[in-house]
Amino acid sequence: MEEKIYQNFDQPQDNPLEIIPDKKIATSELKPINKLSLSPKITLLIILGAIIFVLFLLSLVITQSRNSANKSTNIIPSITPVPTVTDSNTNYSLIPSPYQIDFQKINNYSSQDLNLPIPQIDTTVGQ
Amino acid sequence: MPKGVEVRVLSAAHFLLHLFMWLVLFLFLVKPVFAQSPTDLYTQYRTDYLYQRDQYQQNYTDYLNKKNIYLQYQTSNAEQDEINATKTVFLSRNSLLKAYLMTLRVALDQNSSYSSNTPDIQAKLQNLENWLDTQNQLIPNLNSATDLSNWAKTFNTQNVSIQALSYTAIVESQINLRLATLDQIQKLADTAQINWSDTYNSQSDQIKSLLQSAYNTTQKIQRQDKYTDFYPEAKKYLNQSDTRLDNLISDLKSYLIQKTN
Repeated sequence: MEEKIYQNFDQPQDNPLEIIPDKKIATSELKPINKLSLSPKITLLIILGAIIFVLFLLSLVITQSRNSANKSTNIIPSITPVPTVTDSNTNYSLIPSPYQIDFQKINNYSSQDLNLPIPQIDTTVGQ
Repeated sequence: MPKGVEVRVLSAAHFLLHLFMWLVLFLFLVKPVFAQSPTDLYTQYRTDYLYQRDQYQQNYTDYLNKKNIYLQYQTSNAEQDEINATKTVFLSRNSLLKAYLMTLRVALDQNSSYSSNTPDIQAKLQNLENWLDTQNQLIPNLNSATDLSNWAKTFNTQNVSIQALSYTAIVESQINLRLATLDQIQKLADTAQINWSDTYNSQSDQIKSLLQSAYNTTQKIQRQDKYTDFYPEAKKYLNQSDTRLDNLISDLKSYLIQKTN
């Protein structure tokens, strides 16, 4: 192929004397000024934060729903039934009233036993 | 009488009258201080014993920590800390045992008239309290691990007597309570004019015999180096006496009910 040795004046772009502005510069000037360029690390951090936040919200919702479920299934404790038959020895009403107090004292003698915990000591100390 | 002398006599009488009035006023104002009842004293000593027990537990925990540190690092400072902690435990343990013996001694005051053995046991308890007191004066002078070890051996020998006497006092207190109950049963029967001498006498003799057997178990000779526990055997006799005492109380109740009808 033969080399063109002439200058095509109809196509100014082909003029070697003309200074053509850098394409990259021109494209950068076209970008909007307020657009932030984020590094991949920050993006990852934001994504992780968002996941944590979503999990936190989820846990809150689940806890709330579980609490409300527990409340609804709580069983109200019933009163322990009182035995209807009492010990014959503790029924003092049959005893003549002048002797009731004295008899009661006698009958409860075992409750007056010494209530003193025995000291628990280590005898191997110092050996 | 000269007038001057008369004036002096009058003023002296006046003074004495004043003095007498103040004295009467003072006697009215001051309230008499009554001696504490055995029950009050027992409650007071028991509270002190429980406090000493807490103190001992704290000091013992501290001793264990210091001992572990010494075993781990083996430094002279750690050793000295352990010696001091050991001495504190000794002091605290003696105070605890003294408070316990004092409480037992005071507890024996209740119903003490029912047994002739009680004063002797109380005297022995007092002797052990004195021994523990004396030891607490000696312990601050112990300065080496050897001193501590020797004292620990002395204590362990004496501890056999402390344990034996403590359980003897517990058994004695239970015997006295049952003898007192037996006496109250008889008194109530007498008041209600119940004629049950045959029933009462036979049951009463058996109960007293069982209580004597319970006391006899406490009199077994102990080995010098190790305490032999007699309490379970004594308790067995006490439980048997309780069964008979309960039967006697049921009989008394029946007699009292019959009295109404």
